[in-house]
Amino acid sequence: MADKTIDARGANCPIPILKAKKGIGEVPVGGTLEVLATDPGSAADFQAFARQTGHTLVEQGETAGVYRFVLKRASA
Amino acid sequence: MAALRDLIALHPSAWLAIGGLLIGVMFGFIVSRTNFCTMGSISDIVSFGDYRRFRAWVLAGAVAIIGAQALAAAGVVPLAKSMYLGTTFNWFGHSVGGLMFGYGMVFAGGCASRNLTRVGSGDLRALMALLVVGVFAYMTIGGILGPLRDIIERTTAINLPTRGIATQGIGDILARFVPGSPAGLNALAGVLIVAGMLLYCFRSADFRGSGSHIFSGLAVGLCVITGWALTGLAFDDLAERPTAPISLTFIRPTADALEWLQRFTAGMVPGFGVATVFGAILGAFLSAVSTGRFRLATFSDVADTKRVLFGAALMGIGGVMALGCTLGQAITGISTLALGSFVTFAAIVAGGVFGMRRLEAALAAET
Repeated sequence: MADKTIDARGANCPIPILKAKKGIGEVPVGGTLEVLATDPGSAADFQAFARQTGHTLVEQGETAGVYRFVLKRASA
Repeated sequence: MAALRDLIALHPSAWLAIGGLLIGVMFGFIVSRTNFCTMGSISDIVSFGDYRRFRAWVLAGAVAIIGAQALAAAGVVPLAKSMYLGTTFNWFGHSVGGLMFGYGMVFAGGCASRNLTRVGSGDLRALMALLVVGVFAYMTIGGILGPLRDIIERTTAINLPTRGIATQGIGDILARFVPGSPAGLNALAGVLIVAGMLLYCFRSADFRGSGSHIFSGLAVGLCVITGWALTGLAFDDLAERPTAPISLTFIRPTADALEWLQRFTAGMVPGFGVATVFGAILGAFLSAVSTGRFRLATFSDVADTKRVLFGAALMGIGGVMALGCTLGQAITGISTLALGSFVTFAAIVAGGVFGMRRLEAALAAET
């Protein structure tokens, strides 16, 4: 169970990432943020987001066109 | 090359239509597969400080400059006949139009080319965005906004020959102020600009280590070069209505594509630009189907609808004022080394950054 869930289904880039950027700051360090999105480009976007920010992309999957990402907040 | 030119001269319209379609397919497929996105590149920078997609955009521009200038030097394409190297410098249109376009593309989910590839993957919201782009583009060219645009242009545009400058090509501008021939100064400026762009791209270890970004920049640049080669070979200065050389650009062609669909029975042969529009959709469709990513999508709510329509309208108006988009000016245009294209490029980026900040603030206020 994630500490916070953001439902960005139906929103195109850059909205899922902008919402995730805000949302990750609202979970405790070490906590997790779940993001649901339908934008096909979001898979690459969230990989880059995690790579660049240091947050860990602990889960990533796609079911029937819905992408699910779980980010673990880094300490910094 | 002369044999190829003679072959194309037999049926230039057909070559432009079929060639444009194929180039569009290649472009749409590449953009869809590599996630090349000019708006996304600004989002990456503003949202989390990742410059790799922006560097891919810059690389595409550098590759396009090298190719276009080489083709011009080889006599394949008369770049001087293109719309970019005009005798007026519409600084207001390039800057304000570019700002409007950059701002709008953030709200519309991407630039015109990105929305074309979204249509190919089943996004009906992108289809609506393109319809609005096309309508507002025509409104700005010769419709209800046309007179206002015309007055602004005539009031602000600088007539370069009256100031001793032949065209807005960087070589011509430099020749006004420093000794040397326009052609020589153009070549020197081109080398320095390309060197600077490549240095900017490849000094980054992140970018050097990202094969997909490097590939996307190279491939998009090559699409633009192929467009120049085709339209250059098909150009006939003595034709009754010569078709100026051009390459990938998506604002006016999107509007023209809508007109073509509505006036098909008038016997209009799709031009190069219209063909690239349909090609980009087809290429993205092939990519989406081959990867199982084709899915119908539409607006999520009223706020989403308002955002997209607002952004698309700005792109239609701004794209016409600036004479192009993120592809048309910021890759194809700069490949001619026209000053206005570089101004538009900078304005689009500035507008995109500003739009991203505004969207971020608006989303924060929603929750």
